Amino acid sequence: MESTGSGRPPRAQHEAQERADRIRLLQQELAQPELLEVLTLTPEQSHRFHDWAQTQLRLLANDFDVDTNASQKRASWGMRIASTLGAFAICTAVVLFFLHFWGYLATVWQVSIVMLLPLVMLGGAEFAFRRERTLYFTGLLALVSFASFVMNLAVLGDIFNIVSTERALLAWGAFAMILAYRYGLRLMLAIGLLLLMSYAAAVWTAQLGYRWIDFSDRPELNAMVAALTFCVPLRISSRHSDFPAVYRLVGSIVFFTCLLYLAESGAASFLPLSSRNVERVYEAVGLVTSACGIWLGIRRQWNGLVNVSAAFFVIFLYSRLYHWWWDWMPKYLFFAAIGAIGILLVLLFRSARGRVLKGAGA
Amino acid sequence: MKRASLVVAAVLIVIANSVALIHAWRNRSGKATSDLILTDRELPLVYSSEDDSAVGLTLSWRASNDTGIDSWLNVARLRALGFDTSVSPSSADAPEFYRRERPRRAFVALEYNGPAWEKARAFISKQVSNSRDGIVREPDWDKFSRLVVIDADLDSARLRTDHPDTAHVLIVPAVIGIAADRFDYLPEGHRPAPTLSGFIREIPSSVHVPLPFSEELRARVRRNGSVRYNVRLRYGASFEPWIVGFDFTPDDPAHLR
Repeated sequence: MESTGSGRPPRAQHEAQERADRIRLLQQELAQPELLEVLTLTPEQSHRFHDWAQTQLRLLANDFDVDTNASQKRASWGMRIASTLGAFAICTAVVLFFLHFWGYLATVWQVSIVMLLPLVMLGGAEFAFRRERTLYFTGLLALVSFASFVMNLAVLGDIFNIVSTERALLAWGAFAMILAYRYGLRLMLAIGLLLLMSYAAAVWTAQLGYRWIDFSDRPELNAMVAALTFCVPLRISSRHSDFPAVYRLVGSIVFFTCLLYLAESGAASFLPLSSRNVERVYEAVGLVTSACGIWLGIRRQWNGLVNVSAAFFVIFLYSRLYHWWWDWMPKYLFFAAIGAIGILLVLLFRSARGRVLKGAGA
Repeated sequence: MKRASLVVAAVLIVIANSVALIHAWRNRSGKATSDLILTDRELPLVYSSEDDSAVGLTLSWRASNDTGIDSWLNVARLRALGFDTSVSPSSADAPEFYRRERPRRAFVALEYNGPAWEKARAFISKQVSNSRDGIVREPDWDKFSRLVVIDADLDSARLRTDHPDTAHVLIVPAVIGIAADRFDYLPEGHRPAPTLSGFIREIPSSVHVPLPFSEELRARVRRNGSVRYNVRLRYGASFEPWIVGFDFTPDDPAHLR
């Protein structure tokens, strides 16, 4: 197997898919009339390239089950959406099925069933993992195993009237992370990160003497944990090359959401300022950090970060404009001003894009 | 090594379950912190949906004057519970300051069918007799819970020392909030002095009914539509309850003792 663009063979399905896409695009470009005017392959070269491309695509398909043409890609997207929706539906069915019958069972049977279910589903996920390359069924069964584990601890809490604590978040988060890293599942990773971030904030909240579940009432705690989550891939590397993007996505979305919450509701802040001043501070912080996120994402080619930061920049900006203008400005003028600012942003982004292209050309 | 993470995942499930079961066992072994007989007034049935076959009760309680604001939760008590009460309630900063004070965890004492209940009943009756044109009517007392919150502390042991009767006073964890009332909703000249007071925001109330009690309860509800009962409820070392006995002769709970 020849190496990827990074100089090594693909180790994961998404790397193999990127390589297959590049080979397919190269095949299409070499057939373009404009290219034939500047680069002409001899018949022998053309034949050898065609053979090489077909061999590479066949090997990638055999080893990683990648899509080798546009139709297959569309079908794969459909399978991915169907398997995710199917997984959520199966999780719901398992939980509702248990709830429908558990009241008729003795305690020992209730406890046994909820304990065994996640273990059985974990076994099923492992069985599927060893037999398929595309991870559709592995992902489905892993999600069902996770949902079963959530139900497991929730039901035990109900049966024995245990006062809820934040420790369940730690168990669930750790389980989701193990599933994510074992099977290379990004959805599980996102779920695990959200749970562990919630646990960190909840522990801190409980230590301060408050109800642990009120951790979401203190967005600054959550924002700090989110910022740490964003930075994790900078210090820890993983064999799953698509995981750092998930850390950044989850960290940035939670971080900006917390800032947005504080920009709207300053009473939730630890800062010794009035609510109004807190809101102003966090509006400014939100605008500056989202702009920095756009810059960083462009510089590092982190598309997810650029998209998230751009979306929140617009939300922060429009939110500020709403607070300034909505009450006194005629509504038609307000929306015209918003539209004009939107056009200005498009021009600014286009100018920034042009500078980047120039820099790349030089 | 290839299976290490699989083993870790399985072990995590086992450990989490073990921790929960050991916690439940430790709560139920040893001396009970409270042991009392309550009725369907204090532990009404929770009606689940068709999708949930479990049977549960909920602990129903009331504040001492039924307005949700307990007068015994005064400034000194709130300070002892960890609240910052440095801003005077008459200060212009008070509403914002106390809005930012988050509810705190503590323990509360709930008295069953004692002087606090008589006082609460008298308070409500007075409101009925003071109301014009019968706007506030005499309630159906048979549906009122006789569990009344009478005290709060950060230390459950100190609370039990102050209220040693385990057969009539429950000690349970709770969440307590603080509020500053400047009575801005009353016309000028009719406003009392601004006050700072506490309120019980939450007490864990859910009680699972295991077999065979749940089967009997379900059958009676299906037959008669409603049911009266007594429940012997015990609270363990972790202040978590479980049902020890169930009885459907509401006027004679003697054999539950």
